[in-house]
Amino acid sequence: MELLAQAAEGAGGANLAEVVLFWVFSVLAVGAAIAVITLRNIVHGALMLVLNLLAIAGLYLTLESSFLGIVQVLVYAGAIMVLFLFVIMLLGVDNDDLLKETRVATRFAAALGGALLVAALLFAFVGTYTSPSSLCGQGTGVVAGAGEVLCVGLAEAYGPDDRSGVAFLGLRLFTRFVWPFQLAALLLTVATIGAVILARRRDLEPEDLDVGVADPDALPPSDAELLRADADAPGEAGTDVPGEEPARLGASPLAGSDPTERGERPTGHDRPSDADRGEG
Amino acid sequence: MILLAAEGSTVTNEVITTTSGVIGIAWLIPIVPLLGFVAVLLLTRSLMDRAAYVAIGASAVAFLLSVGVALQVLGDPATYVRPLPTWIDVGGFTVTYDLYIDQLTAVMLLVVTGVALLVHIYSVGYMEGDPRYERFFAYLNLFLASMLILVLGANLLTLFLGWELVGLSSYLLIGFWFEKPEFASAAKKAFITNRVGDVSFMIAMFLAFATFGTLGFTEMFAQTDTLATTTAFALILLLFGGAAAKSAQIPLYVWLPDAMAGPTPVSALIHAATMVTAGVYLAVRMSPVLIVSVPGMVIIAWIGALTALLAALIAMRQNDIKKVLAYSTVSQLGYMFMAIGVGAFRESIFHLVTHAFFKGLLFLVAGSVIHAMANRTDIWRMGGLRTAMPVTFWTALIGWLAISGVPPFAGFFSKDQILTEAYLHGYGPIWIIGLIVAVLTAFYMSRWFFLIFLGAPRFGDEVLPHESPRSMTVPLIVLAVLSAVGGLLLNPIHDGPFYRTLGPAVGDITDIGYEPFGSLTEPVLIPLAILAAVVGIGVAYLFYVRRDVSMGELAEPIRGPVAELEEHAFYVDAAYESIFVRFGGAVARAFAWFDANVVDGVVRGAGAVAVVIGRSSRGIQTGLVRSYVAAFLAGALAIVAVVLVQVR
Amino acid sequence: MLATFLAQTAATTPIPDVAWSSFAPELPPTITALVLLLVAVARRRQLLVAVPTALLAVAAGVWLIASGETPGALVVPGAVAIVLGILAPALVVATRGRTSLLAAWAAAASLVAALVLTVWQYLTVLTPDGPTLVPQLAMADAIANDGIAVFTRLVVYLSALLVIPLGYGYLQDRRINRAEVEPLLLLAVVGMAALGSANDLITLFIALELLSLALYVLAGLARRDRRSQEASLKYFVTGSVASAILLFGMALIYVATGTVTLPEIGAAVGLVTTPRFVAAIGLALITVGIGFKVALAPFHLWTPDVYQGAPTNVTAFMAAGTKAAGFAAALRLYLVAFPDLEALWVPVLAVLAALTMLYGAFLAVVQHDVKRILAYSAISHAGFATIGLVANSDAGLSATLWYLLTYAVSTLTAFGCVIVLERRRRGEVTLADLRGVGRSAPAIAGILAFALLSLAGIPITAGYVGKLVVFEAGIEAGFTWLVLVGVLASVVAAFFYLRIAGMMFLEDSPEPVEGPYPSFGLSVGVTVSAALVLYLGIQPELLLRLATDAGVLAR
Repeated sequence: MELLAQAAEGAGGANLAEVVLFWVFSVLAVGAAIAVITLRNIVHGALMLVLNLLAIAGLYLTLESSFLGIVQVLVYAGAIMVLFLFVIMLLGVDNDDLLKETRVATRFAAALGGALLVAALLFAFVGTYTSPSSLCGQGTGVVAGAGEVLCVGLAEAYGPDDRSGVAFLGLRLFTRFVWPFQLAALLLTVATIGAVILARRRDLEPEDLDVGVADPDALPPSDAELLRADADAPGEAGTDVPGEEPARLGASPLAGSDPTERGERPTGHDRPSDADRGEG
Repeated sequence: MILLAAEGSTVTNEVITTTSGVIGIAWLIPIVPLLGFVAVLLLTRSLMDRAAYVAIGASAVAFLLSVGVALQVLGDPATYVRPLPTWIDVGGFTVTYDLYIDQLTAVMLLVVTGVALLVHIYSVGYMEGDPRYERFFAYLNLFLASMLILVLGANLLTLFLGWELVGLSSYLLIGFWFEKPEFASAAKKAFITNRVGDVSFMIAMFLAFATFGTLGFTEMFAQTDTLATTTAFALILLLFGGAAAKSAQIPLYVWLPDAMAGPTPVSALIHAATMVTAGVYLAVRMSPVLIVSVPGMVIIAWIGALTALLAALIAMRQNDIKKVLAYSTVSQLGYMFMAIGVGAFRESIFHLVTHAFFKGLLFLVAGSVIHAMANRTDIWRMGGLRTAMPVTFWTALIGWLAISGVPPFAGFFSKDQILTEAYLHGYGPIWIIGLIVAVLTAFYMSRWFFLIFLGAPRFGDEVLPHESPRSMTVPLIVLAVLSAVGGLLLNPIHDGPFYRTLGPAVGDITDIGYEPFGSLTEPVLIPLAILAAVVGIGVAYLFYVRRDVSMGELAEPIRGPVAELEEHAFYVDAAYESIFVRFGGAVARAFAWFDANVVDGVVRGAGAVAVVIGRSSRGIQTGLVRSYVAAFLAGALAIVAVVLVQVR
Repeated sequence: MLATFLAQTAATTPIPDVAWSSFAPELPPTITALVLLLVAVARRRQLLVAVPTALLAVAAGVWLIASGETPGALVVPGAVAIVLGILAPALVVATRGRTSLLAAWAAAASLVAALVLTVWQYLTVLTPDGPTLVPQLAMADAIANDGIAVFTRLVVYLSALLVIPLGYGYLQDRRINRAEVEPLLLLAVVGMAALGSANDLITLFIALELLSLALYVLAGLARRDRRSQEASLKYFVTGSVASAILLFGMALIYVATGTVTLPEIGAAVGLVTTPRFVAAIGLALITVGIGFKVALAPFHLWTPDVYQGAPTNVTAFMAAGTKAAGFAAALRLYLVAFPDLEALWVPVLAVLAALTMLYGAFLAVVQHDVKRILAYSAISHAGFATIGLVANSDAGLSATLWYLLTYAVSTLTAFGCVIVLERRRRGEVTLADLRGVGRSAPAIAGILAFALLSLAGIPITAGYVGKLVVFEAGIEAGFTWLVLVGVLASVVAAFFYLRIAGMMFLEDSPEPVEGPYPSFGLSVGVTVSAALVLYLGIQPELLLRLATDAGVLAR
């Protein structure tokens, strides 16, 4: 960030091309960001987001952070935005209802909140990096360390052997940050499990959801018997092998579904939060 | 009678830390009943009715050990500390399970285990045939153990541990017959009022810790010289707040009369002899701190006196055999606090002891009568039980005379000495209130006694009163003997053996410099106290024996608005109910409203709430997540703002 | 050519400094989770997974025992590996294809192993000479093994261990005994443990995300229950916002100090060269993020919905484990990284603590659903735990850790009883449903009442000692007003705890109630946790001393 400030001032050895590129990408990024939230067409908005991400990737490149720039393009502009567009198209959003914020209060609050945050950050940063005591202005070239502001280009920080930072990152990842790296692996495992659970087809069979419920208050007459029958052998009620769930799921929409799943009937309040209100 | 012998005693105890002798095994005193509780609870099935003997055995062992401890303390006066393992040790805050045994502890141990033993024995007969017979004895043992922990603790926190355990076990005992509908509200009331007191106690403990850096009694008392008067004042009031709840003082007395829903032996044990006196014990235990701030003590004295007066007034018009005794207990506890407030610590404990005798006796008498009357409790539906229940009658007679303050029964000595002390310490108005209460006490207890035992029977033919079984009458007789001669034996004169023994264990009031209120001296003061008793009894005799009371309540001679007020206990309960229930509800509603309106309103505007509910019930996804996030962000902004303002 | 390249690389590449003993307790649950996933994939051919696992584990164990620098130094971890290795095929055979039973036993075994290794780690590695704990940094300063880490491990592993028997029968009842449950639970608990020892912002964030993500999925386990789905979604959305804010705050801290390691941040924030405004905003945003994770008002709004909607065993785990881990992270963050900014965060957190205690207590009063009441109680308890943090002292640190242990066992007991009752009611439990339980099921009602007393802070229970210790720390630090608020909140709280007990014992059910159906696992879980509540209440010495030792921070 301090380099950014530096570049904006055109000081500290930044060359002209760098300054020009900085301004181009900055304007592009901000402009695209504004377009994302103002465009009516949601697909256009998403494309503008891509542009925004690309512009930021460009900024990274001007900051000599080639690895970050390329990852930005690959991951955000490539993978994530494609996913976004798929979702948008799958949901068939040609009406932009979802995106319209009609309540003035909300818009006002959002604008105010955003403005306040920007103001606070600007205040903090401008106050810090334009003050005479800022180390960056003096171009001392201090390398990382506790309490010392980084005032060199990343290339210098990476060291002489590697101009891209990839090897540097790799080394850091497997030495200094090997523990969080391993934890991140577990994190991805969990995310995968979550995705599998969400996408499990068997759970999406129609009778498994509560779409077919006609009368929400209808209790199956055999409820009580079911309770007792289940209670007699509580430990063995279900089959244990995942993937071979009991056949109850395939029965009629409500009566056949598990009586323990009372919550699936939209009786009473649908949202727990209603309970609060009702009681208040 | 020796006139005004040495005022107070300047002898102080030395502190002996020991693990040998009887003090060394004193930890068994609470442990044995606790084991009894566990054993009875676990072995209910196999023990059956023998559970009672296990429980009685446990309390008997506790009693014998207490006697041993008492003999040790009397033979070799000192404050003994029995070190035990640490309970909590964190930072500079160390609390142990140590036992603290001095003369005051010994007295309390004897009273608690003695009365408890008698109540255990009595319950064998009283609770016979109850479906949860064994459990009752288990609870009694638990209660006894808790009370003993309270009495033996060497620091405020262990005392508080016993304090809360006593509360819990008394909750179990009061609620023993939870089928009774009154119980629900009684238990709730007891719990809530006691929680209020607990808060006060807890704050007092924090203050004590902040002031002394310890909660141990020995360490605290060693620092009283340097204690600031204002700190002492706050500490006294906070401690008294706790004591007031447990010992049923204004404004927290309302739970005690309701707690009479429990079995009568429980009332005798908890509401006469032991639990309710815990507050008195606490105050006297802390008397070295109390004397630092005389204004604090004056407040205690006044609250005690007013409680005594109010409860006595209410007791005059109660018709339930146990309610009269309950209000009487509140009144007598007020007396004890009055004594503490005027600096008569030893007198207070003396009254505590005699009160345990005669009030325990009276409650057991009430139980015996209720037992005989097939669970009727209205005293207007009794009468003439003298012939049917001779043992109960004679023991009740002794109890009645004792509480009324007729010499030479126990109550006379303790009560008279409190009054004398109040006068000699310069508290004239309190002395006068005390005298009035003495008259009232004699009056309402006579009314109670006359209506139950004298006159013609006013119950129908369906009730056949009979004397209670021996297991019930034996405790009656024992307590009656104690009520009759206890005062005379223990402390017939001012500064008698009881006071001399207790002296070193309580705060030394010689430095306060009390001045007598007037020029009256003991030869005048004592006859005044006797006169009060005689007047009360005489008026009651005229009202309830000489007049025809066969038409029941309508025969009540005193009528009018004051009597009306008394009958409804001055509507204090109703007032509390409406104030607290409304207030609590209002606060909760305010918060709920805040949750529902303000939080959502951040995004939606308050008027749109209804619409929002409608909209959001369309699908769960639109729920209130956005409101949550909005509130969340608003909070974030607020914190950022606060931090930024601070960092300047 | 490849060989040359490899040789060259090996010569020039630094070998990562992996100190196995520093995260040894985390290994059994992690490996078990992964193996269980494989077992689930293997379906009927479970032995195909179990036998190789066993061989590897036994080999590793033997190697560990043989390779210790001094003979016998690594006997304990070696033995743990061998025992677990032998258990793997034994359990497969014993459970005869019932995967969820296998998973439950395996998970429990791995958690016991984790506890054993935690104790081993504490007794040997962290206390090399004598009883004093010597904090150690490991894994290139990413792990700080000090008192907080050890204590957090104990609390979270213990909580998870108790949750497994509590949840087993429940999950079967609801037909949500998926094969993923135990692995997710284990990975969540590993995340919690890692959070407790995280010494840099990146580890801290990833560990937090690990446990959060696992809990998002677990909360939505009941696919057919709208409340569960809603809970999961709400938790996920709000949690993501919180994570984003937290990450933003961390980025700002990095900007301000140029480092992510907590002790280095601690050294840097006080320097004049550090931009204080940037650091302040970063601190504020981190406070918000942490406040969300431990549910401090006003960042608590998700809690009631999520706690109510999630499967009850997951709720219990969330309440017990997440709070412990979240506060561990908060303690380390504030006490190690921001001691020089105490003028900024202490008053803010004090106000949040007061707000949280009162809000939770008062809102609980108007609730009817028992899980929801316990959720508000959880909010209130977070406020109490914060008192120790606000105290900003060693005593306060120990107090908060200790409080979280007492809260964990109490709340697990309470939720365990709720599970038993839910089994009986076959669905959510409202206050009205509790009528007559005291008569029909005195044992479970008694235990629930006992747990509630502990939550209310009545003596002889763990909760009492917990409250006492935090209050004491608060007083000592001069936060008398905060402690008074706490006392007030605990009085209000006592009302609604009493109301639950009152419903059970004082009111009668209009219709005859059928007895509860505690399974073996439920009985064991509830009894053990209730026994712990009692034990910690009357003889807290041992663990309290450990909590006091936790005052030794790796700074």
